[in-house]
Amino acid sequence: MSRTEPNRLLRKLTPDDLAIFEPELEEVILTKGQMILDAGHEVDHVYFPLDSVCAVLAVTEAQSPIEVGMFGNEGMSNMVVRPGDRTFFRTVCFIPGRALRISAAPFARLLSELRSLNEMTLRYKDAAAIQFGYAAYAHGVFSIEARLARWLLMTADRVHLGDLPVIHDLAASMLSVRRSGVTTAIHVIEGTGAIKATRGLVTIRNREKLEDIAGDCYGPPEQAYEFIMGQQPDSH
Amino acid sequence: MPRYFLHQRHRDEIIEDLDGAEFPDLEAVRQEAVLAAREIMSDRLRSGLEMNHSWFEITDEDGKVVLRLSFAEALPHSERGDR
Repeated sequence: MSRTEPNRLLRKLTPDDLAIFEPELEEVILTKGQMILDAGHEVDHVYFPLDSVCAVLAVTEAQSPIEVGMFGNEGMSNMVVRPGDRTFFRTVCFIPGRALRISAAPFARLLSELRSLNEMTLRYKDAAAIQFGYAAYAHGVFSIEARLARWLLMTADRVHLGDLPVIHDLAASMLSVRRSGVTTAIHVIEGTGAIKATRGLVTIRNREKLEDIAGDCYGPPEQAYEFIMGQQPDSH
Repeated sequence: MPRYFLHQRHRDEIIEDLDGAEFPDLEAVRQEAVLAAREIMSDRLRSGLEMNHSWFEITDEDGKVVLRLSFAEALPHSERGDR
């Protein structure tokens, strides 16, 4: 198996394009809480997670950072179109693991040279924008339980573990909820049988129930991703 | 900094805070409980759930109850005049 195989976006590159792109990639370990990109700073590398998961956070002066999206092996970090491009979000790893990364300059060059890379990253941008839009929907309209259910489902989609290492502090800061609010939400969701919570770990017991709790703030962006990224890139 | 545990009681139900969190002093814990109670109340209010008979029971690391705060006490118009 090629080392790029676990990343679903890279899997969509044509064999010819991947053969050119792959040697530029460097495997790195992302640790929990590691900030890989910060708001207002230049993007030095573009990351493609293999089994790590990162949160994309909006950072404001007045409020604590709030999660606007996440990506794991289905996507990539903020890209660069030209070396020197900045990002306006903060990106932090919350499920540690491996990722492949490429420096900004070769990425920008190959983005214009490799057609399938260009097409799939643009497609991914579209899928990510839909996911970010649904985060606004979730934060604006849904209860803490529903938002936590959505977050657990999205995290579970990106890790291949039965247990989700969910520390209350982490979920709280990502959902912009106080820790006690997360404690209550976990208790309520656990009462439905959808999850089992022990200290620092959440196990999903009944995915359907969890999806019911999340309502339609989970699901449509995931279906959109499958539709958008399911297309074969034009190889001509 | 000392660690405190913000357990919640809703009627007969107990929601335990297993992890706890560190606070500089009791006043900081009380402030956190006030803000948390307001947040939980606003969420329950919006979901159409009742919120009477709910309170925080805050314990220290030895499990000793150091503070009880009813959710009603966290309302902005309470006589304590919290902001």
